[in-house]
Amino acid sequence: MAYIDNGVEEQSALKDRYLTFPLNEDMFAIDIKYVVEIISVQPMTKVPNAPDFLEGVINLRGKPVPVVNVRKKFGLERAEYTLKTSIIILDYNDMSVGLVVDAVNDVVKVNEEQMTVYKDTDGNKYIKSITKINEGVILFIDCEKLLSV
Amino acid sequence: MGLENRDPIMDTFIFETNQLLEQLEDIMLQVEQAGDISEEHINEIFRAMHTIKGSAAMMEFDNISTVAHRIEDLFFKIRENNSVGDAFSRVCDIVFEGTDFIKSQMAKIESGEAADESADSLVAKISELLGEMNGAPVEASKETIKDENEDTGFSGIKVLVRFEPDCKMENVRAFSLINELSKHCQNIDSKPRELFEDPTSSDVIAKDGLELYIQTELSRDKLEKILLKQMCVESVSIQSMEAGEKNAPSQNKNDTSAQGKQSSAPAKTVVSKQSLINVNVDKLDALLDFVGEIVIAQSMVIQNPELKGLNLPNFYKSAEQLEKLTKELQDVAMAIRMIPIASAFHKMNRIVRDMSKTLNKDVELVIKGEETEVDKTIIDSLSDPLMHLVRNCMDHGVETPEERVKSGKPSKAKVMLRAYNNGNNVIVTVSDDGKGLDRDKILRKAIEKNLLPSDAQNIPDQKIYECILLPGFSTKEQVTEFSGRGVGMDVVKQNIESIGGSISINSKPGEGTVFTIKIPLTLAIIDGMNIAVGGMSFFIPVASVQEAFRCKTEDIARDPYGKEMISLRGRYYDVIRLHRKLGINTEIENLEDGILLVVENNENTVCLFIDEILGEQQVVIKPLPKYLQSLLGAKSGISGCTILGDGTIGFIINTNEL
Repeated sequence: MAYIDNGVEEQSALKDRYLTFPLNEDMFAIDIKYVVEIISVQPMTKVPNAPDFLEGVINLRGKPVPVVNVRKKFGLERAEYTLKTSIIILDYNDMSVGLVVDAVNDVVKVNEEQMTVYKDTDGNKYIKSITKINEGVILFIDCEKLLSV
Repeated sequence: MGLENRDPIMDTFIFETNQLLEQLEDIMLQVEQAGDISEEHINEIFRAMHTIKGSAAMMEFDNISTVAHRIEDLFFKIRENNSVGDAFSRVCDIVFEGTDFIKSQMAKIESGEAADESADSLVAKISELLGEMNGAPVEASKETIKDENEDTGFSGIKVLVRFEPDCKMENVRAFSLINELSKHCQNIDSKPRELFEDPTSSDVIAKDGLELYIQTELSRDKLEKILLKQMCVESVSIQSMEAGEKNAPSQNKNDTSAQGKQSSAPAKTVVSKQSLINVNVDKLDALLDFVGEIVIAQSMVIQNPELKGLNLPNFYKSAEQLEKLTKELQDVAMAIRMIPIASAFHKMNRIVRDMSKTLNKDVELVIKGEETEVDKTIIDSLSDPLMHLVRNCMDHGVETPEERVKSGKPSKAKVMLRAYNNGNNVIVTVSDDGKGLDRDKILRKAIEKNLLPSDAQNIPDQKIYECILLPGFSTKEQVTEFSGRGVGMDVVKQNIESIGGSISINSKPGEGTVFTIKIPLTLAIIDGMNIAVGGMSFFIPVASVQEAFRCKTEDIARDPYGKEMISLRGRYYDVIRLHRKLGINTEIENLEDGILLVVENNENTVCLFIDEILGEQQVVIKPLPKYLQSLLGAKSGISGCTILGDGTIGFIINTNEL
């Protein structure tokens, strides 16, 4: 996790590195250049009139940050919070957004060439590419699509 | 602290130059109004251009420095002739053109673009004018400057630097020396002035030494040290000059023993400085953020659940004292951000001037209440709306002088800007004494564009007038350079609403139009009423709640469509159930069981139904996170959020958006 805490690392050190997290049987990955930090679950304020996948808003050192439940966003059932449940804080396009995930796994290094571009099928629209590492499949999340309204 | 990573020197350059440009424009407008340039004004313009030239050259913006240089030349000539003669209006136009050019370049620099637009045509224009005034080739001006730089009304220090004999390239040595010196001193002038353009400069320096006229706060010893450290410098002699002493250099030329005077001269410049400092707005924002955090932390302590039920009279006494102090701290932090609205008003002078000329209208801009203070961020977002409104007045409101005389009005029209405080709001009005709005024409157009229903004949005039603030509305048949495209006025409404303000229009045919803008004094901290709905708590600005009451069954009326109304002192008000609007389930469904708040809702007064009132406290408004804003859309009723005593987030309700 050393890479994650060190937000001021050179861009090159972050290149091609992805934070992985499990969701059901699958392993997902998110570009580490968008990841600011990983925190444990915090008290949240529910937002009236907001879509179902918006878990709430947390206070991150004085800054309100909306939090998205990734399970709900992918159309899955909400899971009980456990000790492993984490919030990944992203900074994407000047927007701070938290993602509630069941756990975080590891940081992997994958080159663009190793990935296969994923086609929009079956409404699975937040995945941009796929690759295989050590017999496991990793699905790469397209942040832009995940956070577009 | 969120400050941009721009070079601080660049920041200062941008700030100073912009300030000088504003000053210049003000002077020029005064000059133009007076119809003549006084000697004082000439000097001020000369000085401003000189500073711009110098700092632009230092920052290597050659185009800016060239323009400033030529205008400086021009004013040098004017000063020499002691009059502008018949070229007055051309001089004014050229200075305006010059400031516009520099402004446009500055805007580019500020946004990080390359400011490399060519100034050739402008420079040619100035040179031509200069040539005419000289009655001689333009080149002459350079000569005069070289001979006359003693006459700059200069106060400061004169330094004579001699380079080692045979050091060669004296002009280059002089240049690097001046460059080094410019890091420590302001307003450096040298003799000879043109180091590179003038082929004889090296010889002159070798023979007579390099004369420098500088203003600095450095001590004499330090200055000497800096100068002696430079390459090939053989000797340095420093003399001070009395402030305002006109022919100082020539008087002091051989006075090398005037050492006793030095220490007093630099001190003088320090004293004459105002006790004002320029602070980056980001720092003020940070300060206010911190004060906000303190307010939050304070309520975390005082309303700590662990204190519940304890008998702590001394604690609460101290807490009260702390609350008082933080309130004062907050007021001060707020007051620092308040600046007079004058800066926004004065920008309009220029627009009125330019448009008067182009549209052939004779208009005077009257400004009242320019000392009214408003939060800096509000002023920034007020500039654009003001500009559009003034343009609208000039273009659509005010008639031509002939028309005005025909209808029995003075031929000179008035556009008035006015600002004053009204409770927690600032009212800004933009008015003209022109022909007023054409109600029927606007109505026709509004119906044509489907902005109003076709049977809208009987709606109040104000509503009709407000149509001109809707997107895509323009009654002007012809699109002009300034307005009529139908964009602009809708931006006005948007901008004003984005800072929590409102705008209304009043007009009388033949007498004029008044735009009234109401804006909050400050945006950052408000008194909030803490209310509960279905187990969630929200804040409503206390200022927007007129009263709160419980209703009786007999006061409730329902129409067949399910609309609920409540009678209060003989009047019926629509009921808005907050829990339904926000999609929250609550146990309190009966109107009799909850509380009703009388609030404004899109210009109607309505009763807002809530579960209960929890209390009142100061809340620090934070804008909604971007992502949340786009998820919720514009009319969610939630306009901002705040951090509560227990560290969680609370939402602020805007009753106008329900």
